[in-house]
Amino acid sequence: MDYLENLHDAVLNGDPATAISITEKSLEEKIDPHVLINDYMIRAMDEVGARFERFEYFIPQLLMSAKAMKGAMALIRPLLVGDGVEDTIICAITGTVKGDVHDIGKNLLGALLEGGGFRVVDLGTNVSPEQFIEAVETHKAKLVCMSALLTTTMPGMKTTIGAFKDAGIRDEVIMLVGGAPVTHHFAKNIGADGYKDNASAGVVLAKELLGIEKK
Amino acid sequence: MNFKLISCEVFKHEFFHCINKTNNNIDAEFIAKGIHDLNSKGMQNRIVKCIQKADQKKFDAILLGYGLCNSWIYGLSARKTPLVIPRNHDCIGILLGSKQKYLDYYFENTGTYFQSIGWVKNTENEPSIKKRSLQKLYGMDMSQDELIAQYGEENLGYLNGALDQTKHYSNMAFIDTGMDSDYHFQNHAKSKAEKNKWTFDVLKGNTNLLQNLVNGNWSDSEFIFVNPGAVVQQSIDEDLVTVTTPKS
Repeated sequence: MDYLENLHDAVLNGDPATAISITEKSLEEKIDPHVLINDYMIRAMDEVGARFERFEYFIPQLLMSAKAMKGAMALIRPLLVGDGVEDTIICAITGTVKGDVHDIGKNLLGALLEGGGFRVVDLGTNVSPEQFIEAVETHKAKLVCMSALLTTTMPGMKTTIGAFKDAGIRDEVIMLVGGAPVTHHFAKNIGADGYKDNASAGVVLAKELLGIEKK
Repeated sequence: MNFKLISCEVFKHEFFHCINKTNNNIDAEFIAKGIHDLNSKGMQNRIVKCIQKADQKKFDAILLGYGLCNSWIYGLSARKTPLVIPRNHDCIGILLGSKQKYLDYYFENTGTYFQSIGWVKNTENEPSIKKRSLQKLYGMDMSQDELIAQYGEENLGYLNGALDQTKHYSNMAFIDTGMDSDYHFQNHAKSKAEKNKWTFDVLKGNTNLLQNLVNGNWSDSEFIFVNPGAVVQQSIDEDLVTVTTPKS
């Protein structure tokens, strides 16, 4: 189906209307939704992430690509429920730590994780350690991504990791941290599994730590 | 004592007040608040230039009018002159006179936008900073017209919502440090709060930390003292900062 490459281009170029109309047409023609996701949209979002990391894409461009993919996924997702494949998709929990209400970086990471094939449960901002733990248990998540923009709130990352240890589930999840004041040194010393200074590199690191091969 | 003061312009009013009251000689230099919009390395480079210049002269200490301000401070060092830095997260805690007072208010009032005289006065960035800012680098400085032209009017609401850094803010707190002109700037901050439909609060601040800095009254609980050759580094304790001396 030659026109499917246009789905890739619509996501890459941040064109939600085209992404939705091609997805509708594809589904009418009974094309396997997993093909749309894995062969076209994830490939496009991988490229979006790479361009963002090279400063070739601005944040608004990344957001438009995310919107295009989200629009297409809204049509596809109901078809995936109950097919068994959905259950095998890795769930990632994202959230900004307690006391912090900033979310741009965290949302960019969430968009690129979704674009990378993860199921993302976003807890929003001002998230307590207990909320992170509850979400991991409820959604059987394998990845936790914490964000903080301020030095006043970044100790919340250490507290959250400590709470996971106390709950006896620290070794069941990969925990990544990010945000303006966070550094490799800080991440390593609070016991996080990793840190990256941009959302795109964060997704690559998450896949690497979870043993997911890059397509 | 002869001190070099290198400070963010956000403290200019308060520092002039403190310099008038100290017996020490203070050579003050103020740097644009806008350098906070650069990445940490860019901000550090700008301040380090001033430190290196001052380090060549015979000051008894170089005083820095900055807090951690994210992570610019890590890696900082001077060869010949001690550095003294408030042990505080940023200007908010410094103007409140206490880091704990700041943390207590912050966590009880999540989503607060803080203002002081220096914040109200210094809102516009210089063009040279603007073009190197993180906002520019990531395309977050685009005007409404530019966003419409590039992404269409139908996507403007979505993009504005996603790019708004203050969308979860609900409160404005003006820090009154007792300067003569506080009232005028307080009204300005109040108008901004009303425009954003935020609640408005006035917090009693003070100049105690700034006065102690220029007076040379540097307790370990309030200030980081960096001997010549020592390096400021990040820690994971509550202060988020430690000073290490490299082995010679």
